[in-house]
This record gives sequence, C-alpha cells and structure tokens, in this order.
Amino acid sequence: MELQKLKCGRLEPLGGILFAALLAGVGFLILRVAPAEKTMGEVQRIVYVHVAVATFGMFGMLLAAAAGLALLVRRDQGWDHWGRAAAEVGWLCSTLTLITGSLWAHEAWNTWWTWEPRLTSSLILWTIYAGYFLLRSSIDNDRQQARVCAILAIVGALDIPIITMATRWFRGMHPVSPEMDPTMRGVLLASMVSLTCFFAYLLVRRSVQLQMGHRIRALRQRLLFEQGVRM
Amino acid sequence: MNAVYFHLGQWWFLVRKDLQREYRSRAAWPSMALLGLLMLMAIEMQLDLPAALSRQVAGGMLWLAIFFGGAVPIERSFSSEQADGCWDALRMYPVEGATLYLAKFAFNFISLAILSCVLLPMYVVLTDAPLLKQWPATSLLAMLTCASLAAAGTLVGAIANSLRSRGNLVVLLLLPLALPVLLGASDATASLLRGDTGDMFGRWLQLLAAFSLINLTAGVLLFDFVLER
Amino acid sequence: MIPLEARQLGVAYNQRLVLRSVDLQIGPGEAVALIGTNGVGKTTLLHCLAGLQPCTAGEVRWFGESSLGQANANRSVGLIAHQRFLYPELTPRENLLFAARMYGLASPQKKVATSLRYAGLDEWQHQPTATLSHGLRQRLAVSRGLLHAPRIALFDEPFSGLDENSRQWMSQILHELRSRETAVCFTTHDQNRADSLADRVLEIVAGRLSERESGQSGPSSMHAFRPGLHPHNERAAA
Repeated sequence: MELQKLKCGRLEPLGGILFAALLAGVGFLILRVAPAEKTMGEVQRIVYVHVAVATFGMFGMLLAAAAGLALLVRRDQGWDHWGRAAAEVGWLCSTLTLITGSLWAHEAWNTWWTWEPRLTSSLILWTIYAGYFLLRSSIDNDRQQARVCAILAIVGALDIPIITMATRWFRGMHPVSPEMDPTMRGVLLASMVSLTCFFAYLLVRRSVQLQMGHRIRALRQRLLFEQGVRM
Repeated sequence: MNAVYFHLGQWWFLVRKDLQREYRSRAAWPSMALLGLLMLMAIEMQLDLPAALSRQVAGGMLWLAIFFGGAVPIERSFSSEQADGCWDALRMYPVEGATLYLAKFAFNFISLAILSCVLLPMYVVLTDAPLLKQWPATSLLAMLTCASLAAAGTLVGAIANSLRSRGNLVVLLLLPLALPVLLGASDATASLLRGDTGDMFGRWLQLLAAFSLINLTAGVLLFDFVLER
Repeated sequence: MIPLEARQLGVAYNQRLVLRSVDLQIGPGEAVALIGTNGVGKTTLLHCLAGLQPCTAGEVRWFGESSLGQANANRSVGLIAHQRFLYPELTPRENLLFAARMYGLASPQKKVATSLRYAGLDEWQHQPTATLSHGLRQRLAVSRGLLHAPRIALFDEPFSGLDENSRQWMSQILHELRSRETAVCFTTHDQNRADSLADRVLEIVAGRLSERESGQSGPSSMHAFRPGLHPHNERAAA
C-alpha cells in the first residue's frame, strides 16, 4: 500500500523535464536577458547563481536541524530521511557557494580567497557539513546514526548565528545588495525562486529515495524474522 | 527540594569520581599539557618572527594549542568510561542526562583551566607578551574560552564516544564548531596585547559567554538522547 | 505483577538474526537458567532484559512497565555482566560508595560496609580494584550489582573463573535472592549447576528459546513459531 504511494508513478519523468526546462529558462535569463555589469562585465553573472546557492547552503543546515529536532521529540525515524536529504542538498549548495564565490572573487578582487567574513563563515559551515557526513559514515546502526546526526545538526545550526557574528566583527568587504538595474534585480529574483524550487525538489526526491531504501531494509529484516531467509 | 539535593549529590560524586581517577591514573592531564606545550613550541619555532610582530599573530596560536591539548581530556573523559563497561553502568543508574552532562562538563572545564594555567605563562615566556600584567582581563578571557570549549566539547565528545573509531573524530567534529570561539579568543587576545580592553574586547567576551550558554543549554537538553541506544 | 516479561522479543544485527520470537516470564522468587553454546545470544538476551540494548522486535516489560526510563524502574534491575562495571583506579569501597550514591541509597556508608563484609572483601577494601584477583573482582561486581537490593537480578556467567569457595558463595547468593522473592535469571555452561540452582532451564538454539525439564538432556518442547513484527511495521499497522 505505502509503496504504491511512494512510487509517484508516471509523473516522475514529468517532474524532471519540468525542472530541466525551468533551469534552462533561468540560464537563458542570466546569460541573455540580464545586461552586462559596467565594471566587472560578464563575470558578474555568477552572482545570480551564487546568491541562490549561498542561501540554500545555510538553509540546508537549518532544515536538517529542524528535522533532527522532530526526530528526537517525536521519536519517528522517518524524519531522518528528511534531515539527511536536507544536509546533502545543503552541502552541495555550500560547495557550489565556495566555488562560484571563489571564481567571482578571482575576477573582482583579483584573488581566489580572502579571509573575509562571509567567505570565512561559509567555509566554516562547509566544514560542519563535512563533519556531519563523516559522523554518518562511521555509524552502522540506523537508529543510532539518525539520533547522533540529529544532535550534531542541531548544534551546528545553533552555531550559525555565532559564526555570522564572529566573522562579521572582522572588517569585511563583501558587497551587500548594491544598487541594481531593475532587469538585473528581476533576473536575480527569478533565479533565486527557481533555484530554490529546484533544490527543494532535489530534497524531496532524495528523501523519498532514502525512505524507499529504508523500507527495503525493513522488509528484508521482516523476511529474516518470519522465515529466517537471508538476502 | 529533595530532588535538587539528590541531583546535586549525584553531580558532585560524578565529578569527584572523575577527578579521583585522573589523579590516580594520570591518563589525560600529563599528555594534555605536553601536547599543548609542543604545539605552542612548534608554532612559535616555525614562525620565529621578531617579538613585536609575533605578538600580533601568535595570539591565535595560544588558543589553538589549548584547543588541541584540551581535546585529549575531552576524548579521555568518555573513552575511560568504556574500560570495564562503566558507561553502560552509568546508563543503568537513575542519573539524568543533564546531571551527567554537567558533571562531564565540570571535569573538562577543570582540565582546560589547568591547561591554560600551564600554557599562558609558557606563552608569555616565549613571546614576551604583557598578558600577565593584565591578569584580570586575561583570566576572564581564558575562563570563558575554556567554558565554551568544554560546553561544546562535552557534547561532541559524548557523540564521538559512541562510535567505533572515536579517537580523532572528537577533533574533527569539534574544530568547525569551535572555530568562532578560537576566532574570538585570538582577536580578544590581540586587543589585550594592544592594551585595549574597551569595546571590542567586551564584545568578544559577550560572544564567548553566549556560545557557552547556548551549548550548555543544548547539552543539558540533548544529553538524554546521547545516552539512548 | 510479573517482575520480568519478554514478549516476542527479536534482535538482529545488520541483517544477521540473533534472537527471534523469544517469550519469557520470570515470577518473583523464581530462578531461570539460560544455557546454550558460545555466541548463541545469551548475553544479548540478558542485555535486552536489563534494558541496556533495544530489541529489534517485540518488547520487554519490567513490572508491567515497558520503559526503564523511570528512575524507579531502573532501581529494580541489577545486572552482573561479563564487563564488571568497576573503575579500576578506585578501591572496592569507593566503587561501591559511588554506586550507592548514584542509586541514592540511604546510609550508604553502612550499606557498603555490610556488603564488603558479606563478600569477604574487608581485607582488600582500600586497594585499587585493578590489583585484585579475578575472583575478588567478580565478588565485588556481584556486590555492586546487588547493592540496591534489586527485585530483578540478572547474571551473565556468574560462576566462570571462580574457585570452589567463591562458587559456594555465589550459589548461596542465588538461594538468598530467591528467598527474598527476587526474580533471578542467569546464564551458564554448567548443566548440573543450572539444574540444581534453577527452577527452569531454558536453552537457546538457533536464536530461539526452548524450555527443558530439569535433569533432561535434550530440548523437550519447542515454542510454537510466531512471526515477530518489526516496530516500524507495527506503527504502520496501527
């Protein structure tokens, strides 16, 4: 019964096609519609992607922490799939943030890396994600893995405001929403909305996948108990 | 009221037990102090800057040495419970997770405070930094930093303790979380060395206090879940 | 109220089945011996019964309570396992005092002194536990596990590595526990001792518990097979 519900049937490829089209549209907007920036030229187009992934990179940890809290309070293993999916998508975005930011900085500031507040804080966030997955991979027991990772995600999310403050108190030079051409602003908004939708879609798909994997393991275990069959 | 006395009593006997064990076995503190000293020495040796310049950059090195040295007792305070299954016994006693967390926090805080007492004079000798002249500010900064590291470290140490390969994971999990603490402590030290205990110094102290409080609260609330299996 | 009860208990490690469909009830003053070859899951079962390890299927109830979370229930179980739960750096006296204080017992000093005397550890009470011999440490572990006068006592191989004198002492303790209406469960290799000390002898074969009459040499009745429900599925069904 529940497996039927999880399968999502034939609509699955449709979702993929829809989001491929959406991403292509965003690409078109960024590359063709948005005007080139006066001082930095073409490189500035990275910003449209950068802002979106940076936002979701931080959001992923918060979502993982929220799922972790739900797991601990409600004692429902199902939340672990959401937490893990959120952390994975968050880590992906966090990595993309560092890459796009670094590319942009190379052109704009003439250096790949500088210890500037937002760069520092996104790098720290990235290392917290890394620790989270390291912890995951070193536990075999599903229940223990879920519980322990939930705790780490909560502690990591609580750390975010502190990191933000600590890094901000060193002098910074990251541009904070400068004056923008209305077209540019529109493209930025469109890219943020559609990329956020895309990452949310990724998150749901991944979570469903994890859920199915769990279901298969549970069924195997039940077979083991009922018939002593090893698979 | 009785319940409060009961938990307070349990907390005290847990702390006393850890201190007694450490005093007799000397399993953590000597290696902690040595590792801290070696870190400090190695870093200072590598930098080998003129004293004035070294003072500016090496403030962070002191706290890095304290962090790595401090990871030893944090890891040890949990792995030593595994020796004869004592962790299981602790889970079977009617001890609240919060009590156990606060007891381990107290032990780790004491360890880190001892480490600071060893490394701070050593740092002053190596860099000729005028930290001891401003000892009230310095000791306040050291106490808050130790409390921050112990608060986060106790929670992370307990998490890492439930794994197969626990040794090095404590450092790997704790360092990213504690980076803002190290950042704050080193910047506060730099402003101390400039003879500036004004606005910025106070702000860093507030940040450290906030970090300790947040992590202490998280530990008290979440430790029951760490104990589950 | 039945002190200790396991219903349809099952345990699996990483898709490897250790125990399945274990049904067990131990009444007050009843002693149950668990026998079985090495690695068959005796210790696992005992850990589940002590609430140290969650079971994959089924449940354990202590005086009708399905969770050991309440401090009250915790105080009613005593476990003496392979791992002795003793701090090697502390003396026997300090170890027992620590346990007494964790349990919040009244007049701990007096209780500990009595317990040490009873275990014959008076002479060694100020030596670090690490320097004691195997037998003495086992006696200390038993004293620690029973310090809070639990109403359910679980022993893992209580007789292994003990000399004749200590074995006598151990048997005497089991008798006393039974006369105090304590539910007792212990594992052993020793067929004869199981028969002489226990009311019932249960054997674990291939993950299942089978009862056998005292004195008989083979399993007499197999429990009827019933499938265990995974907790996950139980939730889905409900």
